[in-house]
Amino acid sequence: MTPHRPPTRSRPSLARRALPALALTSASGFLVSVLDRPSTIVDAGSETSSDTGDTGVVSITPTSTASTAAATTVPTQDTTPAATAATAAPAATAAPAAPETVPATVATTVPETVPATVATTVPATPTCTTYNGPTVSTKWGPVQVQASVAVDGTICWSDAIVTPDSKNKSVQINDRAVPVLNDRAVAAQGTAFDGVSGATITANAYKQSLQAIIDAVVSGQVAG
Amino acid sequence: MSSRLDAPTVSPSGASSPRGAAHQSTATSRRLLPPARRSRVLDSDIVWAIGAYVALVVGIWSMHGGLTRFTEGTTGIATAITQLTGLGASAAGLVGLLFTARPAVLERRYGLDRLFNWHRVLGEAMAILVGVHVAAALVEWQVDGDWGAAIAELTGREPYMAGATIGALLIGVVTVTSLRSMRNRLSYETWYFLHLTAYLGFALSFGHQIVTGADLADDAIARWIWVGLHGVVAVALVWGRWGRVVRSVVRPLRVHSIDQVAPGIVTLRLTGRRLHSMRGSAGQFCFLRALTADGWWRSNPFSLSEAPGEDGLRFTIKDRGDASQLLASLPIGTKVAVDGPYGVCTPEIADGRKVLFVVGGVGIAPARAMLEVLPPSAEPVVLYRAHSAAELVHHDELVELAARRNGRVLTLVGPSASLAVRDPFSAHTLRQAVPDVAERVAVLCGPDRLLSAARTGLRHAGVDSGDLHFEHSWW
Repeated sequence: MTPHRPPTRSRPSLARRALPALALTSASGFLVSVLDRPSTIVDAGSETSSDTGDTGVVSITPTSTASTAAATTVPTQDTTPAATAATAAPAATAAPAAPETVPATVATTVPETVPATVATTVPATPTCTTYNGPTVSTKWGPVQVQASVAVDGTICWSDAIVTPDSKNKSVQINDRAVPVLNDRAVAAQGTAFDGVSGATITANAYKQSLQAIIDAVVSGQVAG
Repeated sequence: MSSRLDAPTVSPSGASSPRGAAHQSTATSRRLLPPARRSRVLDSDIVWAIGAYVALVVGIWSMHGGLTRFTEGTTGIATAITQLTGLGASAAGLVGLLFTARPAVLERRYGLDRLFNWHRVLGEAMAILVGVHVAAALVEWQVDGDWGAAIAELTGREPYMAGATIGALLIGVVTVTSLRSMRNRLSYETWYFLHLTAYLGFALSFGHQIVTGADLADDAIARWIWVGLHGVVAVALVWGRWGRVVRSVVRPLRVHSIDQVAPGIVTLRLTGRRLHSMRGSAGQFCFLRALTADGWWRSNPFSLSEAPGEDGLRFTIKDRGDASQLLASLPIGTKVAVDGPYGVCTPEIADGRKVLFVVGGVGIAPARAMLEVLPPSAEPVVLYRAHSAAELVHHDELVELAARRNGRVLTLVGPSASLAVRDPFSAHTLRQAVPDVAERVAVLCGPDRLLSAARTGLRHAGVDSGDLHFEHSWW
């Protein structure tokens, strides 16, 4: 007598048993790679971002006016009390307008950060006026852009003077993102530029505040 | 090793097999394994641990403004709920994972069956919390009814959120496939491999907890506590769960003999040098993994049917499907990885009192093992229920072991409809059969229906519920 009973059905195979799990794992990997797009271009024109609802009242006022070589003029330190503190750090590190590097002539230094097209137009229309954009509320905190814009809408420089700082993480993100956004705003001469990975909300608010300045200047609502 | 394997070991069926008889005569001289360690964990320790854990989670949440957010309108409330459910899901999942690592102190106190059931409860709680977490996050992120944008942000535009989304889906799949109705449609291994993808789900969702979760992203202390908790559970899993598997495979036992004791029921005896360093008690069970081409990837639990000794572990295995068929047909000498033993129905529960076993079918195995080591003061009574006389296994061994301890074996054979009494486990019948039933510690072993009938009857017959010992069903 033997306990070795003949197999009454096909032996279970590891491959068949493991297939659903392996398929699920592969599908997961694929979907993550498809979905993961934190650096996706964000179109500033479309109002799709989740932080466009809380826009404050747009009240653009010129904060300073420069006659010559205005493109590199430092935002005057007496603009607003809030701006004073906020500008200090970003301006020193990132803005193409750091006081120590104020050039004698625009043409020699600006090309480092400003595309050639701008470099040629800025000297031609050197009158840039600095404006404070509206404060845009986001879920992480307020964002306000200060930009120097010529009458024709040319952006001489742009900087965020208020960014969310209630959380260490926000500060960390914005320290990294704001200089990039400043550069991209000037390079794009508008708000049609890529967002920054990990700072989508700040980027959208930045664009919104900046766009309000451009719109106001171009439409002549404020004195150029 | 080979010298042990030369004897033909497949013997005719019947309890009076020569091996069985030989075993009885030497029973007193066997060197048993040292008993499984007792756990010093108390229920109050568990209560304290749960309290501290909940306080930690709620503390982290409320320290970061969890409660005050309820005054900040819909978005604030949604934020608070998102954070609390996120922390809660993570916390519940971690403890659920910890239980699968089978920590010995908990296993020996509460039993693997209850650890698994807690794992199930915590897993289901986690899935529900994840669901609420996702819904609340969408409410938090949407503005002016623009759900599409909120979904786009939360499924990929925010860092690590693609992983978190897929992680949540995996948790959902694992939970759904573990629902009883789904679980019964899948083979054990198909279900098990799917279940393993929960590890992937956990890993994928970890990033967003640390980067997007405001509670952890902005608070270094909370973040390190959280990372630390994950680390502890990871170490427990690597050592306790997968390390145990590796250790059992590296030092396997070997098939010494397989004897058919009844139609479709065999005893499997495993021997090996590793036994000299093992602990184990009668009444426990082990996970067996045959190290063969078609067996290495599956592991199934079987009860010891003899007090575990250095001369070997004996399991009584009923043909219930692929796994038991495979084990019943292993060639002599095959390596078998043994994980265990586990279980809390061990002889200590008698604690000097008299014992009643209520067993059904192959559930006799642990009772048979415990009988062997019970003192005479236990005066054991075995109520043995089987469908047919042929399915009564180890009957002669039982009678002899019980008689030596002033006990007896009562068998109840036949289909339910043919029994003289309508309900063999009614309080009345039990009292008639075992007049001192209320003084006894009861050990129950068998199919679920028998367990529930016997539990009801024994409670009515006056047995304290604390004196009822049985393995809960696992799924």
